[in-house]
Amino acid sequence: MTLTLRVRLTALYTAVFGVLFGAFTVVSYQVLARRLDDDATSHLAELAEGLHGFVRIREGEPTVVFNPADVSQSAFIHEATRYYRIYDASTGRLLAESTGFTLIGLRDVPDVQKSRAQPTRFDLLTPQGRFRISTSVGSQGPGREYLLQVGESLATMDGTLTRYRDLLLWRVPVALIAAALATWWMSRFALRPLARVAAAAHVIDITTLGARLPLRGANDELDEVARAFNETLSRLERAVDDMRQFSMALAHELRTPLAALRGEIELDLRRPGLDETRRNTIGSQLEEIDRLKRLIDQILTLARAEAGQIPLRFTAVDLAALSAKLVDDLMPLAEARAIDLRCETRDGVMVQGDAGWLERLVLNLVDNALKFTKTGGRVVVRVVEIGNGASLEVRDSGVGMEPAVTSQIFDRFFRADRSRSSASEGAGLGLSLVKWIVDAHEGRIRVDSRPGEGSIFTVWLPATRAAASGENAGSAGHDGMTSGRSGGQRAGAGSDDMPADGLAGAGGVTCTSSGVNFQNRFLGGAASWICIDV
Amino acid sequence: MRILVVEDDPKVAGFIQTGLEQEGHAVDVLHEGSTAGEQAQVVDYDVVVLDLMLPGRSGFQILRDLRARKASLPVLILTAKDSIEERIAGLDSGADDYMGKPFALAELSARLRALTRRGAPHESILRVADLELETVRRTVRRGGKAIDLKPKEYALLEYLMRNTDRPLTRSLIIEHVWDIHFDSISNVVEVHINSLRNKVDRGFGSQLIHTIRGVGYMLTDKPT
Repeated sequence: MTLTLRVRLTALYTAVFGVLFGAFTVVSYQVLARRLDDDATSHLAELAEGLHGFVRIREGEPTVVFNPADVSQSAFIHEATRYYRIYDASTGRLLAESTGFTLIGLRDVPDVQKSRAQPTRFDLLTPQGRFRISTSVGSQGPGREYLLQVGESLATMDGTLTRYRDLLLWRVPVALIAAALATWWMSRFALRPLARVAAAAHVIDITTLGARLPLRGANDELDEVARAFNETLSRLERAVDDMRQFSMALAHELRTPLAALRGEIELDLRRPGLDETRRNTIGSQLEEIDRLKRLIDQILTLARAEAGQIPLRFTAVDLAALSAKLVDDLMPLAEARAIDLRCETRDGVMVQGDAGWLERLVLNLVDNALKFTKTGGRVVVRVVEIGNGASLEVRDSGVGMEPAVTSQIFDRFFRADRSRSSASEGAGLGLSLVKWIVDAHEGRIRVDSRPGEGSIFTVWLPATRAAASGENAGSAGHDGMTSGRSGGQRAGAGSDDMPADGLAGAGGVTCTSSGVNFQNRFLGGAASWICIDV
Repeated sequence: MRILVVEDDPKVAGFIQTGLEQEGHAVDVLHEGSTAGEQAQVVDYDVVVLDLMLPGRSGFQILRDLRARKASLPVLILTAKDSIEERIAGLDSGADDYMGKPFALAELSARLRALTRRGAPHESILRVADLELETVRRTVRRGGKAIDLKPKEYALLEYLMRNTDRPLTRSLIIEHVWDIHFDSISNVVEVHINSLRNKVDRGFGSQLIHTIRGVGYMLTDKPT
């Protein structure tokens, strides 16, 4: 599993925050503990030092002398004498002990020598809590040394520290969770423009290279990414345009020499006295030239289509009637190979489209199905109304395709394993054109195929131009479906730069079926001819 | 007939001239079009073959010039630009027919023939050897025996018989018999020719429908 940037950002930020906050917690606890400890120590020293000034020992009896009228003095004495005891330094006899000290339960006799030079200190753990005991030596004149022990309870300090520690212990995880949530939220906020860039970039392909990502105008890092991406698109668009121009120019330039070649070979064929073998050789050369011509025609058509140079003329077209007619026309092809070709449809399934190109679409799909279906197989064409559009399904019992192949079949010059299509001609441009026609109609195409069982091509076309945008918006990202997009074609479709009026007039004379687009008759330069023969 | 060919490529112009002259036409060739209008005014041509991409003057300008001088003179445009829109533009600017390069010589001559024959009345009964086609009743007989044909087969046979002894290319046949452009795909024509042969030729003494490899098909009772 790969982690998204957002997850990683959140984890990283939370970890850094956790380490910093943990370190701060430990250090602050230690500083506080040290400070409190120091305070307790100096407080105890003050108590011991102060008490020495009030102790008087007469004939082995210590007394604490102070002025009870002095409030601060009596408060001090009250505190200092809570825990204290006095020993005779020379004999080690206990001279006095407060009740508090007795309760501490300290029984050891302190060592005078250790505390003579300087007061000593130790901590003692009792059932009543921790105590700190200071031992110091005082003197009331020569030979009248005594040993004073003063204690203080550390319970308050320890309690404070415990509470502080407990506070920290639950505050750290809460802070971490809060930090993680905050980062998660902020990263979504920060990454949202990036998601928009990605969404826009996803839908750009070779037919929509003219599209650009919108800049937010913030002039920030994300705008920079969008700008860089747009510049890449511009370079790609230029390169693709150059390639299209090149292939168009190339195709044009090839035509004249091919014409000369074909003409001279054809003159050869007319020479009297040619034997059968020679005639066949020459005929074969002519056939090859014709194949080259068809290839050039297809390349040019595709290049022009993708460059948005083919304007579509949208009218209401009965897709069912159109398909039925084409299936009828192609029937002999199927019969010749004992393929059961049938059209399961009722008339009156209307779509908005260019009749000429829709004919090409159906033709190419059915032709493709026939190519890949063996003798005795079956090809079924079905047109049904679906949603606010029409679905055209071409199902064959042919050789089928591996899943890896289905994703490639709309690529130019892609041909599934040559050996499988029986003596088929064509350069693999037919389905590329199909894809373009579907896109130009803002429809979708899908292929389902199983090796050995056959393939189903399903095309959805909108009934109205408005339905296309609605349907497409609703099905963005539909698995296996390719959404048609508005590229240069749509812009071209609206413009009326061709002499439609004159042609429509001519079309009225020749047209036998109302749905047939006049453009179609001009393919092959047929216009004036049809006029003569009808 | 007398034909004017305006074509800058010498080889293309050369084979057109040779091919058409072999068929008994008189052919004049111009390699650039500036004088085409005058030439057409001086000489009484039956038809003009005009290349669209010429050095100096464009084919469209020449076409307008020709039209201005001789409105009824049929013009066939010959060009390397062969898209639907270009065809429409060409036909719209006054051309009578349009052919993309490369093309079959047989097709060029068939189209020129058709252009000059425009308006000629059709025979209602067509005969080749013992094959007889009646256009009014749409019936076909060979050797007195009725032959049952499907509509497309009938249309194909009628077209072949109207052009007896002349080779017809696949694209010409498609244009006349179908109203759909099958150019790049399928062998629709071959399949129909085969089924037509089975009905018209099989079981009869002589073969009438011939295949000319690399060119197309021809209906004739003369030995090829």
